[in-house]
Amino acid sequence: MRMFDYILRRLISSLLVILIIAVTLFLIFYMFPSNPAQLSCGKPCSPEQLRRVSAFMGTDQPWYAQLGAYLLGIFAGRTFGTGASAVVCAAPCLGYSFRLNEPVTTLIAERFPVTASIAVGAAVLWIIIGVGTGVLAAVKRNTWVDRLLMALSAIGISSPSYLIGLLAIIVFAFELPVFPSGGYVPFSRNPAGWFSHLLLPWLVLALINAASYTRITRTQMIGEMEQDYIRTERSKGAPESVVVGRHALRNALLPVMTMFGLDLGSLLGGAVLTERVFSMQGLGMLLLDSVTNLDLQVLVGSTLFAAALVIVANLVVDICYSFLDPRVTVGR
Amino acid sequence: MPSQTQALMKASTEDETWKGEHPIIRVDNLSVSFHSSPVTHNISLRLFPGRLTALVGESGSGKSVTSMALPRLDPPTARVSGSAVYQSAISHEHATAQTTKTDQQPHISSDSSKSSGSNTTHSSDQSSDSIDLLSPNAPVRTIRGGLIGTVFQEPMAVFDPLPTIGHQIEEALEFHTPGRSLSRAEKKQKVLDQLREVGLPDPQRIWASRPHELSGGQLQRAMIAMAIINRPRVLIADEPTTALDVTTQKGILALLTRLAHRRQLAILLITHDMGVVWESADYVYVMQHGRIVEQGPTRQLFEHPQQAYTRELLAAVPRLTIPATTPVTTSATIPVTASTEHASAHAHVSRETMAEKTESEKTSALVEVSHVSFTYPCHGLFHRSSRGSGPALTDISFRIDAGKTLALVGESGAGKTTLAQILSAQLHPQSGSVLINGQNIEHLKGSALRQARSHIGYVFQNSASALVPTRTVGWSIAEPLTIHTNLNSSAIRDRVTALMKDVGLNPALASRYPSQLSGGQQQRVGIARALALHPRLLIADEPTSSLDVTAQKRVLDLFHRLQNEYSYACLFITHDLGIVQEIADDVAVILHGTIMEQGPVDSVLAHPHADYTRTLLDASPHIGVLPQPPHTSHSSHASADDERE
Repeated sequence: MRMFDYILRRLISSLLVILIIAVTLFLIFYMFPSNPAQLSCGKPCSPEQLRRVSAFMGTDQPWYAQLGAYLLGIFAGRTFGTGASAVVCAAPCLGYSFRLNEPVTTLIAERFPVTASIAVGAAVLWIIIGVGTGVLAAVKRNTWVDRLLMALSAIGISSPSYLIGLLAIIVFAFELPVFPSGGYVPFSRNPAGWFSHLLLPWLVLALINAASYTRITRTQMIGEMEQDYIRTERSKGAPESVVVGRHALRNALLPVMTMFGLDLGSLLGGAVLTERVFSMQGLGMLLLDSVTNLDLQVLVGSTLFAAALVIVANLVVDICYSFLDPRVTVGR
Repeated sequence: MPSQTQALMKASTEDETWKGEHPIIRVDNLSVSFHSSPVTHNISLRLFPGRLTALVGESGSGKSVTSMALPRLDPPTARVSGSAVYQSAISHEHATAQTTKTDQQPHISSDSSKSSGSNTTHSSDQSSDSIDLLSPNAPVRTIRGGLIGTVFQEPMAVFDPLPTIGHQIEEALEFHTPGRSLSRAEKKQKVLDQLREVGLPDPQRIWASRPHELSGGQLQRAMIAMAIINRPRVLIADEPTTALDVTTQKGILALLTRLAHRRQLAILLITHDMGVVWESADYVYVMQHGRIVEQGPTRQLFEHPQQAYTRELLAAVPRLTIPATTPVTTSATIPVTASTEHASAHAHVSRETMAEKTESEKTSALVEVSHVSFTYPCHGLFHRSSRGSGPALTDISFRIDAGKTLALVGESGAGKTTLAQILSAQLHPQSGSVLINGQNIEHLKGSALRQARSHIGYVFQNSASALVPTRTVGWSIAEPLTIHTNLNSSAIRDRVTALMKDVGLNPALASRYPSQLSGGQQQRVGIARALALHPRLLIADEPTSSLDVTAQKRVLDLFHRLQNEYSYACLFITHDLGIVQEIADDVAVILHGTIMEQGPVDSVLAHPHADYTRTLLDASPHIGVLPQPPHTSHSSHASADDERE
C-alpha cells in the first residue's frame, strides 16, 4: 500500500513537471522569437496572406489561447484550418510542421527507433564496461591496474564524441573497411546490417560514457568496501568473490543506477553528435534540422518529448530503487 | 557466577586448565604492528570452552586488533607475529575430562613462556590436529565462522542493508556446508531455530526483516545467531553491548553467558567497561598500551586489583550506590502499576515536593516546561516514520533551576532527544509551554530566536560528527563568538584559549582538525563550543555514550567543575543510572514519551515507584564487590512510602 502510494505520488509529480516544461517551452519558442506565421508564409508575403496563415496556424489568438490549444492538442488532437484545406493532427499532437507537412508526433515516431537503437545498445555496453572496470579499479586500488584505468577514464571523459567518432570512422571504415561509415538500416529489414551499422556508434558512445561510470563505480565500491558489513561477511567465511560481487557491488550500484537512468533518458531524446557524425536520421538530427530551419513546432515538440523521456527514466529509476533498496519509500 | 568458579579457577590458572578443560585457543607472543610500528606486544592468552574471558582496556589499547587477528580480520596493513593455536580435540575430550581432574604436565605461566610462532607441538598431549590460526596457510575461510564466530560493536551497521536477515544468515550456513546438501526449507528451519535460541521470540518475522526494520538489540541477537549458526567452538564479541541501552545490554550479556555454558562455547569478550566484565566474565585480561598488564579470575581481580591501571578502570565505572535502607523491590507493599495514568500521578507528587523545596527560590527556575506534548508529523518534512504514528511526547512537565542538573533517563526512542530539541526551539510542541528564563521561546522568530538560542549551549552525542571536519577545532569553538558577538579576532582568540583551558585542552590543539583528536578531546571541544557564549542552559545529549569509561569519567568530572564555574542549568540526557547519580541533582525517568517518575536523584533511586525505574536499576551493571547490599532479593520495608516524604 505504501509502495502504491509512493508510485502514485511520483507519477502525479512527474506529470506536473512535464506540464511545467511544456508551458515553459511554449512560452520560449512561440512567444519570443519572430512570428511563426511569417516563417511559413513564404517570401512574397502580403499582410492579407500573413493574416490568413496566422489564422490557419492559430497564432492570431492571444498567447493563453494558443497555449491552451497546444496543451489540449496533446491529449485530444487538433485541427488546423477549416474545410477542405484543414490539416488534422491526431491525438498526442505535439504540433504540426508546416515545413515538412507532417505532425511532429509522426516525425518523432519515425526517428525514434534510430535513436533508441543507438542509445540502448551503447548504454548496455557502457554499463558493463564502466561498472566492470570500476570494480576492478576499486579491488586493485592503488596498483598499476587502478592507475591505468583511471588514466584511461580521464582520457575518455575529456574526449569529445565527434572527435572519437570521426577517428573511428577513419580507422574502421576507411583505412580498415570493416564497418560502414554511417547510415542506418532498420532491424526489421536486415538485422545484420542493423548491427554492423550500429556497432561503431555504440562503441564510441559506450567508451566515452563508460569513463565516468568507471570513476563513480570505483568511488562507490571503495566506500562500500570500508563499511562494517563487509567485515561481517568476511567473518562469516565468505569468499572474496561473494563479498565483492554479491554485497559490496549491489550496494555500490544504487547511485550508479540513478546516473544511468538519467543518462539513458537524455540520450534517448537524441544522440545529436553521434547521429551527426555517423549520419543517422535519429531524433538528434531532427532537432538539429529544426534549429537550423527554425522549424519551431518540431523544435518544441521534440524537446518536450526528450524532456519527458528524462522524467520517465528518472521515475523508472526511482521506482526500481524503491524495490532494490527497501529503505527508500519508508517515511515518505 | 564468578563466586562459584572462583576456587577452581584460582587453582587452575597455574596448570592452564580450567574445570578440567584444556584451552581451546592458546595465544602466545602475539604482536601486531602497523607500518613497522608495534601496537601490541607479546600478548598471551587462553580461551576455554564454556568460559567467558574478557579483554579489557580503553580504546587504542590494542584489544580489538589482538582479537581480530585470530580470525584474521585485522586490516591487510597489519603485520602479525606469534602463535595462536586452535585445538580442535578439546570438544571430543570434553565428556571424559570433566570427571578426571587433570594432572597434566603443568605449563609455565603464559608471560614467561618462550614458545615461539611455530613451536606448537609441546602443548598437545592428545593426538588431535591443531591449527595455528596465524600461519600463512591457515584455512582462513573455514576458521571464520566455522571455528570462530565474531560479533561486532555496531549492530546497526554490521548487516548488509539490502538483503533480509534470514538471507544473510542462510548465506553463512552455505559457506560452511559443502556442496548443496541443504534444501531451502532445511536452511530456513535451521535459521529459525537459531534465531529462537538467541532469544528472538518471533523468528519468522526477524527472518523476513531487513536490518533497518529491527532494533539494535534484535540486530545484535541476530548477529550472534549468524555467528554461531555453524557451531563454532569460539566466539569473539567485540564490544557487543557498547552501542546498546542498559536494559538491552543486560539481555545480550545474559545470552552470551547462557551460550557459553550451554554450548561449551569459549567466548572472548572485548570491552572497556568493567561493569560489563563483572556482569558476565569468568576471567579477565587487562590491556594497556598494547600489553597485558594484569589478569586473573574476575572476582579476584575486582577485589584485589594489583595494577594502578586496573584500579583506574574500576574507578571509572559510574557506580550506582543505593543507600543501605533501600527497599528497591517488586513487592506488594508498594502498589505501583506501569500504567501511564498512575505513573504521572506519581510524577505529579514528586513535582509538588520539588516545587515545595524550591518555593523560596521560585524566581530562579531557569527552565519551566509545562504539559508539553509533541507528535511527529507522519507525512511531513520529517522522515521519521520509524517512530510510528504515536505521540513522541505526552504531557511533559519539569523545571530546572539555575546551577542545577536534571538528568533525563530512558532508553533509545523514549523521546529524550525530541525533548532536547524542543527545549532548544528546534521543534515546536503541539501543546504546552516552554519557558526559559521566563521567556516563552515558542513564538520567537528571527533575531529574537537567535538571541534566545545564544543562551542555550548544546553538546551532542556523537562528538566526531558534531564538529565540522574541514575546519580546525579552534574555528569550531570560535564560531558562536563570531556569530553572536562583535569581538575582534584577537579577542576571540583569547576567549578560545581560555575556553580550551577551561575544558582541560591544550590551547595548542586549536589548529588541529577534529579527526586528529581522540573521542574524549573531541567531546571537550564540543563542550567548549557550547560554553563559548556563557549559556544559561546547557543541554547535553548523551555526551559520553561514544566514549570509553575512562574518558567518560574525565568528561563527567569536567561537567561537575564547569557547572560550578559557569553556574548554568543543565539538562543531561543519558541512559545510564550510574551517570545520573554521579552528575545530577534531579532525575526524570522517561518511557515512550511519558515521564514515569521524577524527583531528587537520591530519593528516586532509593525509592523508585515506577516499575520502569526498577527495570533500569536492575539492568545497570552492579559491581558486587563493593560494600553494598545487592539490591535485588531484598525484602521491602513497610515504611517505604513514609520515608519518601
